Amino acid sequence: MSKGGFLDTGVLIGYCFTVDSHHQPCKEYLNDDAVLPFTSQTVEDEYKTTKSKVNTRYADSVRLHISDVKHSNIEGQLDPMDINQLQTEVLDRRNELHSVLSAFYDRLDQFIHYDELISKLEALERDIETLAIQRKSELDEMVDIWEPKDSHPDVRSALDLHEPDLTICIDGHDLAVHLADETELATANPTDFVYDGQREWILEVTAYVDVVNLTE
Amino acid sequence: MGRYGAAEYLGHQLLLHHQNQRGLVPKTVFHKLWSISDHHLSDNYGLDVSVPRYWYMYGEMVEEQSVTQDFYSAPSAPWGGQAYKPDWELEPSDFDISEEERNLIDSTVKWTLNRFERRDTPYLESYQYQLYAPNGFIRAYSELREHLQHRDLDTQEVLTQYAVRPEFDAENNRELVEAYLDEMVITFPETDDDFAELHELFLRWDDTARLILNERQDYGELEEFLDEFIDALSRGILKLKYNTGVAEEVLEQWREEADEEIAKFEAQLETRRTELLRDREMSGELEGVSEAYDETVISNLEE
Repeated sequence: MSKGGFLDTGVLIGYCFTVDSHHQPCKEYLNDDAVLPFTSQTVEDEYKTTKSKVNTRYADSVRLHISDVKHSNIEGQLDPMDINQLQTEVLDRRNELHSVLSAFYDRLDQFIHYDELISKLEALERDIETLAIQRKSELDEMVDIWEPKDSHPDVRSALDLHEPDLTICIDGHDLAVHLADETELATANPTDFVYDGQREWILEVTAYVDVVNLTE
Repeated sequence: MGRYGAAEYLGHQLLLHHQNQRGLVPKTVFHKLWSISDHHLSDNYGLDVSVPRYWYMYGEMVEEQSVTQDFYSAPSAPWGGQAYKPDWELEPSDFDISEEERNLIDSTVKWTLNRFERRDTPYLESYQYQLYAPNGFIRAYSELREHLQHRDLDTQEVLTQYAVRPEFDAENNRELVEAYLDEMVITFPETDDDFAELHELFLRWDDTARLILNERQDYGELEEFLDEFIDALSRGILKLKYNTGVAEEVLEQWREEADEEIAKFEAQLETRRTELLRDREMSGELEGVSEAYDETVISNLEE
């Protein structure tokens, strides 16, 4: 028996941005033949904003480090001292991807040419954006966009959520009302949709049959 | 009293004595001759005639709304732009300037036309950025553009013999263009607050330019892509930051448009990157640091 699965923005982000951790449970959920996955335009818009603000910013952080490396006096064939200098002096501790770039240097060959180092860093920042672009493309093949038919003011006023989570929750509730199959809310944002009694309250006032936490 | 000042007299004399005076002086050429003459007057005679100038893309232009414009006409030209010609009816008394100013301007017009009358826009741009570029970054991107323009039209290969920076020691076209791109990265004025806001956007553009270079080797596309960025940079920063004598209402209009221009370019750039990265194979570098990366993503989203 099939069921509707309304995905919140967190599921799209988990599926598209993370390499493994949140991607795997989101992928398993989407690969479940029993689930008919949906999003809404509000979810798509929030995802697009988050992609610019988060995913592109991460890639920007790697590019800022590449710029710092180019400003340093390190060049030619690098040895372990050079690698250490890059990691401890050139890599800015305020860089948002500091821990990622530290891990990058930890696994780097201790003897590497400057040009190869730059190529690897470029590959890293391009991988960050490529992963999100390709995963979103996969996701779009699997998911339909639901266009809400009603605004449900009573349910809206009963829910204790901020925008855009409120509209997203209502969009999925509208799907649950109109879809022949039972519908659940699938979330990777348990803080807003699951914890502190939110799950129970959402089930109380909406037509969802379940709120599934995909981060567990 | 004449109704025009020294800036207008300079512009009028340039049009009056230009060899193409019968209405064939293109807009960009006229603007650049006017601007170069203004610099010459200031640098050599200490005479400030206040030609309203601003930096746009690869050189300086004159802001026409900030002068009294009716000493010339600018009908559509056969080549699609505007052809400038002087008002032939004007008398010397129409210009409110001293005899000394008139002599210095006349002498400067001769100097300018002797040197530049037969030169085209790229030559004038090159002269301007080499002498007057406000910083090393502007000089670096202007050199790259000039270099990209020297292409073999059949093969679209950049002609290395036109490289103006032999110290780059590049073995082929690609290395040469990469060296120019590196020069831009190094000279970007990131400590200047106005430029700092666009540092990430510039680095995103830089990486995209390298993707075009590596995956398509299309130097024509690269030249257009450079123009797109420099156009946005000019409208977003350069003409607001590097100008003189421009009327306040014009500056206000530029300020209003600046953020919009940058946002428009940012959206175009995102579309371009998505096209270039969509079919790219993952390299494995992100996979290698996936644990640290996923932790960063998740903790960031939980905030």
